[in-house]
Amino acid sequence: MMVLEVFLAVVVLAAAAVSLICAGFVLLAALDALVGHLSKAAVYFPNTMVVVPAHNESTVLGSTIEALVAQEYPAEALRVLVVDDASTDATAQVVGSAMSEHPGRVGLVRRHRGGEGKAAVLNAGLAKVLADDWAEAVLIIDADVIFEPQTLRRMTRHLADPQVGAVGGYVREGSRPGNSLSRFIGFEYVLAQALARRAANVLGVFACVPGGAQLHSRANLEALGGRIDDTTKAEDTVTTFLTQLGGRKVVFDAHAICWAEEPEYLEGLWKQRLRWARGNLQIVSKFRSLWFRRTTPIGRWSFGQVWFAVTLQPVLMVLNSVALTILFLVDFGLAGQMLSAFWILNALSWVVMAVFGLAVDPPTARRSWLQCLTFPGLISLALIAYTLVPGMALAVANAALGLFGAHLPASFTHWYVLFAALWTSGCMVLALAARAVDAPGGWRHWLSEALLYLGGYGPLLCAVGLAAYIDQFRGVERKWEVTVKTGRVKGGQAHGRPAGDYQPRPAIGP
Amino acid sequence: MDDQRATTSLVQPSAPERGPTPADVALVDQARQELCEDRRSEGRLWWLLGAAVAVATLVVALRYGWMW
Repeated sequence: MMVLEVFLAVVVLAAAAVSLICAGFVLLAALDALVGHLSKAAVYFPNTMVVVPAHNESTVLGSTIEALVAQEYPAEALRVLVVDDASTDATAQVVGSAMSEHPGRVGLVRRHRGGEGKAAVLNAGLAKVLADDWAEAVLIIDADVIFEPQTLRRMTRHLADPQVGAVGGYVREGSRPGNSLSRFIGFEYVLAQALARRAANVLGVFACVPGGAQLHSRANLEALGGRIDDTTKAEDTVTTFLTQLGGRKVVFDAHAICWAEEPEYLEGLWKQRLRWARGNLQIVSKFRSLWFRRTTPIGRWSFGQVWFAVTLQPVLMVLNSVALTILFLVDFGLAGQMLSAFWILNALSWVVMAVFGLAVDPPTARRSWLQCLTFPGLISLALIAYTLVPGMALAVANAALGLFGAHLPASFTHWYVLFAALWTSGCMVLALAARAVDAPGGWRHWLSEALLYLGGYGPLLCAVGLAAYIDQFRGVERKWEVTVKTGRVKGGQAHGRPAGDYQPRPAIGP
Repeated sequence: MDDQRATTSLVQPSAPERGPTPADVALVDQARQELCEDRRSEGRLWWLLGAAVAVATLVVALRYGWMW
């Protein structure tokens, strides 16, 4: 075998290895019950200040504040501070109304110059919070995140262990009634949070505590200099890294559930995810001296493998396509074999992730089972089916074509290999098309949804990742854009009730 | 905070010294029970996920094992 062919085969296997690494990582989640942090948690109600950054959030902020003050938590140990980032809508009035309704429990800091990014807004709030010694813990959330009544105490219980610096909650997609996109996001969060963060509990090292629900001990924030790093677009990831580099633990509690409104259309999702993906590339550069060096948790080989498997996946998909296409031209037989290996390994990985995903979060599974099954895209699923059971797939295809008096040509296998080779990156082009045609309401949105199901949600995320690489290499500076929220999280209405009728005392500790 | 004017109205009333009320005790009991339930629920998850993986692996291995 020629050197070129061996090299191309290795590229294909490397691309397949990415999905295997992700599936292997997900498998670790099952061990969370054995080695997770719940066994070290204890009932603990520290004085907690909730910092809520807000820019034009009047439609969602009222429900968010109501859900916070209604927490089943000692009322005098919980306060809410909204940091209004130069809003031009009724955000300040909404907070003012909450301040009147809950005197002494809700506060406001107004910034008159906005648009400097979330970290700058948070830092304005943290400066206020840490200026006096009341707060023993600080919860940072997004303005649209609705907490379930027991969520805060499910997070604070981990701070009973003084080694813990930060705790992440489980942010579920909460738009109701929602559409196909919100259901895809819902299932993505099962994979990225309910499973991946349980697995991170097991590994003992975290990539990111979600910016929408992160609880910090005061000691942790003070050790971080009392402020959030604002040099990247991924302030939550940097905070998570710095916490762990400072020797403090980060944990995730899958039972600490809150609900967030996610984008309803692909344009909004694209902007949000591009910001996240750009942030992750900046993290790679910012911590470049730590990767794969065992002196810190971040440098662990296992963590680096997972981080780079996810970060490099878009690039590897393109390289995979190029490698398979060249193989198709120089060695058709090997191209077919490598293609089969690629799809079989991907199918195996997907079976593991889908089964785990459906099992770990039944409510989301009931709502998003179709999006779980079609996550890779219908065309990719058809290619997988042909790879696994070619005879049956051909029979079905011929039967379908027979209805129109047609049948598959004799050269089908030849062209299948070429198509499948190109498809591993072509699926991203379909995702781009879905984004291009998407628009609120009407036939364009239906067409976009159809393209999304055909091309797949996973490839859409890969396309965003690829766009982030292109932006990063071109040095494109994008304005920090807030994701528009419209108050579609219905869970909040259930929690918009008065605080409990108990009269708690100030300090109930471990 | 040069670019902002703090208009916070958070007040810090000094909490009266008192012992735990029945509601305090109930809250702590509730949280403790919740913690036990969550631990148990994670344990159930372990068995559920273990069984799911075993079944999925078995099905795939039996059906497609010949391909290797």
